[in-house]
Amino acid sequence: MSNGQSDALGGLTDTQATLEASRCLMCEDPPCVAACPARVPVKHFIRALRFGCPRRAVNLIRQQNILAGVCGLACPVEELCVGACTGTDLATPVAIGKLQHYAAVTEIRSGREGLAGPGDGRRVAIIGAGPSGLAAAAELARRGHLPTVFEKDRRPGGICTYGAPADRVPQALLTGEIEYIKSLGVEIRTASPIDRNNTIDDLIADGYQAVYVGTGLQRAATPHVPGAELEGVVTWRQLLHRASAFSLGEGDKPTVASQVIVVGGGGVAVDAACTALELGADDVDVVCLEGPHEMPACRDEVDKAWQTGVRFHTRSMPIEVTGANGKVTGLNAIRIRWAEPGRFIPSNADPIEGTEYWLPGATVVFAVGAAPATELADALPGVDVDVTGRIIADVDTGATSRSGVYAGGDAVSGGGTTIVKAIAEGKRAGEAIDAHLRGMTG
Amino acid sequence: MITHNRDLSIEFCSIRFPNPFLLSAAPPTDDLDMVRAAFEAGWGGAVLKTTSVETQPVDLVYPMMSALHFDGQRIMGLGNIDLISEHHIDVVEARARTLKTEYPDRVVAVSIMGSSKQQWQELVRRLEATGVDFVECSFSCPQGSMGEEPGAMLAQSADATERVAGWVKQAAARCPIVIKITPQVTDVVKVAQAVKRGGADAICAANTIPSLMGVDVDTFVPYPDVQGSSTYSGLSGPATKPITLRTLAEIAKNVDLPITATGGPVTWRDAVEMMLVGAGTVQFCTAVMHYGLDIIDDLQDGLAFYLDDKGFDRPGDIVGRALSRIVSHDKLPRDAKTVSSLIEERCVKCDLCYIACRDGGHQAIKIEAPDRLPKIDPDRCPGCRLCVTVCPADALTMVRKQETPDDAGARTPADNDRI
Repeated sequence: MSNGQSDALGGLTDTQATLEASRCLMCEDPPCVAACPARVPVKHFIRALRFGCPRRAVNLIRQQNILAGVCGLACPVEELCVGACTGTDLATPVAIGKLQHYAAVTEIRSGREGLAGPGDGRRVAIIGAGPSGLAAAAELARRGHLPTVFEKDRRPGGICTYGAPADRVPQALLTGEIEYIKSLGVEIRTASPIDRNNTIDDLIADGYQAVYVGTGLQRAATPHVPGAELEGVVTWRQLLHRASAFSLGEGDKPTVASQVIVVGGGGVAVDAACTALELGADDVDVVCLEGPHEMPACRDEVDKAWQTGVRFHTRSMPIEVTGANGKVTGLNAIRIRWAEPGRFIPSNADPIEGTEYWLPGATVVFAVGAAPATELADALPGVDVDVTGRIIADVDTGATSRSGVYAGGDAVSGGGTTIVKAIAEGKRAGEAIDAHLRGMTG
Repeated sequence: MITHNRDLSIEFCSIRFPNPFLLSAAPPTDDLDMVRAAFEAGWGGAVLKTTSVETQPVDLVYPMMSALHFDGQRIMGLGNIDLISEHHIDVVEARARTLKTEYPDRVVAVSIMGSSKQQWQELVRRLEATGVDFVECSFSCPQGSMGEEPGAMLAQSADATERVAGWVKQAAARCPIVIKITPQVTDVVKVAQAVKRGGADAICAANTIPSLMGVDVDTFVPYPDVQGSSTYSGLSGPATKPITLRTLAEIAKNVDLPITATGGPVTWRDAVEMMLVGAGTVQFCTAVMHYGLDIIDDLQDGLAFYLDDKGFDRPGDIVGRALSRIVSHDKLPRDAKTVSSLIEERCVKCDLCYIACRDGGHQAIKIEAPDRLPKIDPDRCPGCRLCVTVCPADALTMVRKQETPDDAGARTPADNDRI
């Protein structure tokens, strides 16, 4: 039995996990489960760990969340399960994320494979090997279908592979979980984009009887700020995708200036700031509308960024990217107050006259939102999208305007879907597709 | 929800159990709906709480529960001053019949207790007629069983055990008869042999252990406090497991009778341990009262994965596997010496091994600057293993000490005694 954390999977030791699990009160109707978008049976998986059966623990988690280990690390647990833990009222909440990660890596280390479904079902195409696509594929495979995942990038994982700084989710963990998904009977084809030249009509002509679209966000929002066209302005998505690809040995190292300015207060802004530091920036300034306690970014992530030297300029809005000779030289910003307290949206921000300031920097990263790729619609004939390019889908089933085509994750929400929520949506769509296919005759 | 797909059925006294786990005769089996819920949850069987042929109502006392907590963990042991079921034999009969009709694939048993030959035999005949799979005879309830002799139990007398087991067996036409004994005897083997001589089919080992649960040091009233008075409780729960294991092993090694275990199991591992020392099935009570009926899922998955990992086909294949490893103290090997050894990367430098060895062992561990890691002197360490048991980080292990012939030759007789 392994008691160490010396391999790349890391995590709690057996001893640490035993001690932590022993603190769970194992309540009836546990609030941690209600707080989990994927409804992971936290009480029961912790009890399984505590009663000496990690294999049962991971089976229970994977029933609901196929990327158990990834989410154990990447979930904003303070805002979800851990934030709801009953144990908080007695002492401190149970480290549910760490225990979930422990269960997952214990099983990955065992090298055990999943039980493939009977495989007597229908062929289903999954577009995008991100969290929601993988969850949909796993659910379908378990129900006996034959899912094939089409991924445009060279590796599966979506945001888990290309989105966040490389140290957020160890690749060994993601690879282990993806291998498990494959062992269920899921085929993953990388470097296989679905686009205007190869649409879902072609997939259906090839014999796929249903389609799940989990393409996430392919395009960062274009900021309406003068100077946004200057050389040196990039989007968070470009920066993070290139940085992740580089860390995976794909492509050149992205260059950033010694002074970098990141605009935005969400998780991707903090990711972009940290990534800029890792890529060699000396100074990173984050400019965001929200105050320190209003930022949508996870508190832990903000603290971590702060500790590594990122400077935050809160309750500020960008006015103009300044430049010389077509290149960025810095950013003009201004302090704001909220016209109406408590509504942290741009239209509610009042600039405070006379508080303009200028930050120097030759790289400006916009991390102010994103949208599904506009060209996505060309690949999805018959699927309705809204004006911003988001797919219109049923909140419960993911069903779109085209029969047999389902969607979930950021491609539907337009951004801000956590990994765990995307997985929950993918699983639910998998269930709905199964019901749809079973309802079909012939 | 279970996550395995393995057959866990087992045969015990020619009865097929869907899995080796059943509820013992206790509060969780004293209500029809509770037993239904247990069967819905997946329990393989249930022994309905002990019934008798009462001439007057069972006079229960409340509060009846108290517990041994230890160092922040609740219910190391549970004490009760409960009595037999307060429901009339007619009610229990009807329940048994209903359950057997509704759940023909589950094992339904009833526990009985009589005070005369006529009562014991009447109980067996009446309950057998309900279709139950076996009848369990409580020779061992620590509370109120013998009336005139407080605390004395039928199963504390080998002669009485043999005689009453014989009455019961004589009255049984079809049902296997299981005798539930107490661990509170000088020689449990003698009692088990008496069960066998009496003709019973199996032994249930063992009932709760007579105990005094604690004393309120402010009021001087022991627990549970019944309006200023208290009495001895029957102790169950995890604290009793080692006693149960010993009882099981002694019986299994000496008496050829199937055993259904009870006394302290919580996890699948506890149940497997009990099976390894001879139990064919395992009965649960305190764990269910503490954690709920759905621990049956944990038990079934745990056993299934254990059998997978070990390459066993059926739960029955593990029964008694540890028995040959239990020998009398004088037969234990004394030649190869092991000593304590540190796994450095796990050590958290709490010094607990040092304290234990210094004050309860052999002063074989030193803590020294600059690294403050425990240093074990293999020449001073006789390998008692106290340090391993106190280490909170699983950082100590026992290793074989490489002894040279010179070392062996240099030993004094006193050294040999110590080893």
